[in-house]
Amino acid sequence: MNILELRDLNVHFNSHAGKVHAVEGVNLTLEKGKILGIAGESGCGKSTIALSIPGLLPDNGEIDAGEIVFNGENLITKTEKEMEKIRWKKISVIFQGAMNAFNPLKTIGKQIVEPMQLHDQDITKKQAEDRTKELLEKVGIAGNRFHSYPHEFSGGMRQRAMIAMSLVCRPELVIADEPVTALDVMIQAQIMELIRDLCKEYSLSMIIISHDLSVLAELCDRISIMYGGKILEEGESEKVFKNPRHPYTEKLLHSYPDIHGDRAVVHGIPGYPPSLIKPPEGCPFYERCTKRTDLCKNHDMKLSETEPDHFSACIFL
Amino acid sequence: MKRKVVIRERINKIKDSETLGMVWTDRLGRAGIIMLGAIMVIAVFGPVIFPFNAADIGKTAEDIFSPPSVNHWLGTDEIGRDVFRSLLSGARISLIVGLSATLISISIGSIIGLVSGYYSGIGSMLLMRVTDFFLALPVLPLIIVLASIFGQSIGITIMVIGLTSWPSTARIVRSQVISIRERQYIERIRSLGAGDFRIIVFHIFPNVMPLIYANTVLVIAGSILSEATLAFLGLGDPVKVSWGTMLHYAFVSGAAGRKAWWYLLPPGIGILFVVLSFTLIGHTLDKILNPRLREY
Repeated sequence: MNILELRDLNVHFNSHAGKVHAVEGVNLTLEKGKILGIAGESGCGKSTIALSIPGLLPDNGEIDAGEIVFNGENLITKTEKEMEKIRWKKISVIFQGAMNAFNPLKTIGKQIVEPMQLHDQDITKKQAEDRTKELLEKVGIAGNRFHSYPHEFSGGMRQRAMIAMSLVCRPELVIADEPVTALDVMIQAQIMELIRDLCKEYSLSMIIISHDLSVLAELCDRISIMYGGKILEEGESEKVFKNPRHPYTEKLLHSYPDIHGDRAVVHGIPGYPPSLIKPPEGCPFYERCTKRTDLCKNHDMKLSETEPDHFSACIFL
Repeated sequence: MKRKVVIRERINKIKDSETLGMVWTDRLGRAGIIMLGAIMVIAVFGPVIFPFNAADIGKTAEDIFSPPSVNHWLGTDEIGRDVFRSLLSGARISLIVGLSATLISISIGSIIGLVSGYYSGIGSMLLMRVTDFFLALPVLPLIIVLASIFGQSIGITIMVIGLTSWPSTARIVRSQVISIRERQYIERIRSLGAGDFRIIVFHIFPNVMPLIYANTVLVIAGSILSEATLAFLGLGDPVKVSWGTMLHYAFVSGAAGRKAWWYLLPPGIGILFVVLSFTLIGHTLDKILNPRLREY
């Protein structure tokens, strides 16, 4: 069963320079209990998708077309009041740079209790505290650190506390926006393991957004590669990583060193991502692609199946 | 013996409480605290031990403008009342007016600062224009006009001072709120589903609290001065004698011409000390709370 489906999602931001088409015609599905990764470079629309699902786009952001179907209900048509009931109780978010997402003047415990107070009026103070301590233990922080302030925590601990906070109202879907960015590699590994364990234990569905392909390869069942507000390739993560079918994915994978294969110089992708104020016609990767032809300019960017459970938008399949 | 220990513990507790303890470690701040403490004690207990009766006037000609003596420690005024006693009760009035006016001023300033800083829009802009209007207004003439319209009573004085001295607080609080409302944790709390009221009261307000503290202390000093100015100009409450009122009567009764220094000096020195003590504490608080002013 699909817990979440994005159908033809279009999101734009109003800016001084004009309309920024951050996300265009994105289709995604997430099965219950699975982890979906969204990868891409800065400004490709990853975080925009993450924010539009729980309805947290900033004031200048607007969804102009498409559907976000969560458990069979279209979230776009919901009012702010209705969304408040879904947010955190059903869909929670681990924020980008969670390390700075705590109020420095309040104890960690109090801040984790807060969502419960906001959403669960019946819960007693004692119950909320117990649940917080239990979750802190679960993410590997001693329960008695409940009364500590954020500055008394290390970066990794704050990230763990943030994860605990996202689980506090027993959500079904967790959206993690760059959950391990800005942590060192050892801590990254620990946090990833933690995320995997928690997903199993609470049968969570999860969307992980990252620019770091190795993180996604480690965690995700499915992966989507985004570029210029569009999805270029999508599929079961092993298939996408082993056998990339879009030149962009291929180049992205080549820009990371491989620890198993031969020593090779990693290659960057020359050029810059396209302006999203005037998105190019056809394939957004055209400008930087080495395999481009004139046909690419008129390509409609429909995903087509290259092998079972593996889709690519490249015209040369 | 036991009592001494308890008192010592209390003092240690005050020293340990973070902000006050830090003020205490600063030499100027410590001077301010000691001065203020002494004045507080005088204002609270002075009139109890040496009650002042405005009707207790002199009976003979010698009682008028008599210099300091055993009976009248600071001499007498133009109708033979004891200057020392009226000085003590004047301390009380001056402090009451200063503190109450500050309470009004800081409340208005903080609320306007919080609201106009948190929201951005026409309402917020209007609030700021109103603030600018009050900021640009020449306050003293305004206070004089208001006080003369609404009459001479201690309540009116408090209201008038409180209602005219809030704009700088509003400005300072607002600029800090604007910076805090963009922090990530505020965004996070909003996405948790917290309403504006909760965000402002539980998350932004504690973050601007130190600023409000430091500002409060300075506003108190200003309010006491304003009260003294008003009273000196004859717009104070004639029944509740404050230091400003004393100076007013000293001035109109020609105390200066009669060389009655015991009548003119004490209220002036009182005002000086109160304002100085609050300014010293405020300055020290500012130094502590604003890292850029910190000396290493």
